[in-house]
Amino acid sequence: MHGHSSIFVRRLLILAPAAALSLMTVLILTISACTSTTTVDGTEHRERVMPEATSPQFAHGALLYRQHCAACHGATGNGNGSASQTFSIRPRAFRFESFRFISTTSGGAPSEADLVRIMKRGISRAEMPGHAQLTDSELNSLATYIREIRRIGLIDQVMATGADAQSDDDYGDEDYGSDSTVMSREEATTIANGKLKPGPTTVVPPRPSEYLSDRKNGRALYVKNCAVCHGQKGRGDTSVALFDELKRPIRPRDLSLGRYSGGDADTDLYWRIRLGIPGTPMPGFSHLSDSDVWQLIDYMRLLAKGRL
Amino acid sequence: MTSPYQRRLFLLSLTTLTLMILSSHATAKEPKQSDASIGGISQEGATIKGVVKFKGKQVSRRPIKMTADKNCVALHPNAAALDERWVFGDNNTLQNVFVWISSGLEGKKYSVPKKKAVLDQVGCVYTPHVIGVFVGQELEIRNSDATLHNVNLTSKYNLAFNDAMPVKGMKISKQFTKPEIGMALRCNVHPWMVSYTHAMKHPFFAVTQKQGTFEFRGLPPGKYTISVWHEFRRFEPEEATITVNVDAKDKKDVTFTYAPAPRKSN
Repeated sequence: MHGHSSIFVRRLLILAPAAALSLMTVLILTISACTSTTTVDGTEHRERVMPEATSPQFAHGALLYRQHCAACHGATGNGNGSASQTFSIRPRAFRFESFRFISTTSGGAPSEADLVRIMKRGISRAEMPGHAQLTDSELNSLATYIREIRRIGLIDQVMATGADAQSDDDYGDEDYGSDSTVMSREEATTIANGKLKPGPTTVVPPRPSEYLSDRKNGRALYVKNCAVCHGQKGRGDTSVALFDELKRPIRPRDLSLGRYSGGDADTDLYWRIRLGIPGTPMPGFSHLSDSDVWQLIDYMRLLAKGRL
Repeated sequence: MTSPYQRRLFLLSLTTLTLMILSSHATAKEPKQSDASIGGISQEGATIKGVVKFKGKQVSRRPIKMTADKNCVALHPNAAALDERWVFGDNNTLQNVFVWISSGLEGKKYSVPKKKAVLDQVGCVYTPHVIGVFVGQELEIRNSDATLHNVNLTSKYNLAFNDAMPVKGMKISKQFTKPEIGMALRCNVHPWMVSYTHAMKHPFFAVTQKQGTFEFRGLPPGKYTISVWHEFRRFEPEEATITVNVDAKDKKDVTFTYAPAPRKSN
């Protein structure tokens, strides 16, 4: 109880000079941050929702998150919101999972623009609706807030001792020892910040001027680079057992449907091919020439039209 | 008949030849620097040598079923490659144990090796299976197979990456920014493929090989803690760390012993 109230007092002190409006919103936040949540199995536990609010934009993002995102993605960003129970595809758990759709550097963090793009457009093959009704400033605040949730998840991951969930084997009878590295919160925060820092945006080059769409060449490139996972006809029918970063089975995209989670535009496909999709088996294809990437995009369009 | 001059010339050339053979033999005796079981620097100092023993039943290694990719099967025409989750060495030792000095070197600075570390993919298997690199050192990842591999690194402290390597002879270059033990590198296309990379800020690390031994050379006098790491977590070391005091030019021996932990019933 004592520790609790001192945090409360500290937050008040920090926020004393802030404008009255943001003070009020943050107070609401602080209260909500300390409420107990009841999990599906009925056990009650406290979860730290957010760290100290650092700016009015942050508080704004928190309110918007509760209005527009929490029902599905969960109040704490654990992907377990009450509305998601009937979904065919689980909402992303920002807290534990990598952001998928990036325009930055392979394996890295998304830029704010990447997050805004997905929120605005939605994900057509999942239950994620577009939020074009929100203003750019509102979307930016949301992006900041969602990134904060991820930061907390990353800090916890970095500080966690014990077996790393990601280095597990498929050994049923194996008991994992513990990683005894103890790390301070400051150090963990530095590492998390490093991981969340987006690299420079990968510029999508225009189609080369001498470029000629060539189905045969596209097919050859597809077979060499994509078919092992996405299947000979792009149906996502592979014999390879694939898993995401949380060890859940994952299917490669059925390219014949012509709907892509990360967006349907040429630029989106370019980024997906070049940079991969973090948290999934989809790697970045850094060695392909620009002209080859365009050939592949054109070939994917043909697959989607069912012309092959 | 040979003249005395000719005889002298013959003797002279004989001596020269002997000397040449001798000297070449001497260079061949120099320690092999590429031996992964030897860590440290070529500077005078103390040496810590050791061995990683294995106590208990040695289960034979399992052949890897590579049926998911016929290209991989074709690369092993005679016999299947064996799983590397446990590899025993000579005289009841354990291979592929990463051994490093985990404390005692605080504040010391060692320069990053200019030579790059190399991790290859050969026959749909990572070579070497366990590798230690310097923070900031170039790690070159190669693909020597004519099939698509992706190299997917999961890391707690360093940036993760996942790159496609579909072309034989392709190389990519990576670096690490933080020291870290046990970063798993996997190929999603070939789920049996896994290797472990360890990033260090000093050169006193080693990976046990066929003999199960390790050695650290050129240590300044001091008190050091040595740690061990093996991927198969049911193998537990009797002592996870051993502390050793060394004076200048000391030679100390240490022994680690791994044993399989009893299976837990659920």
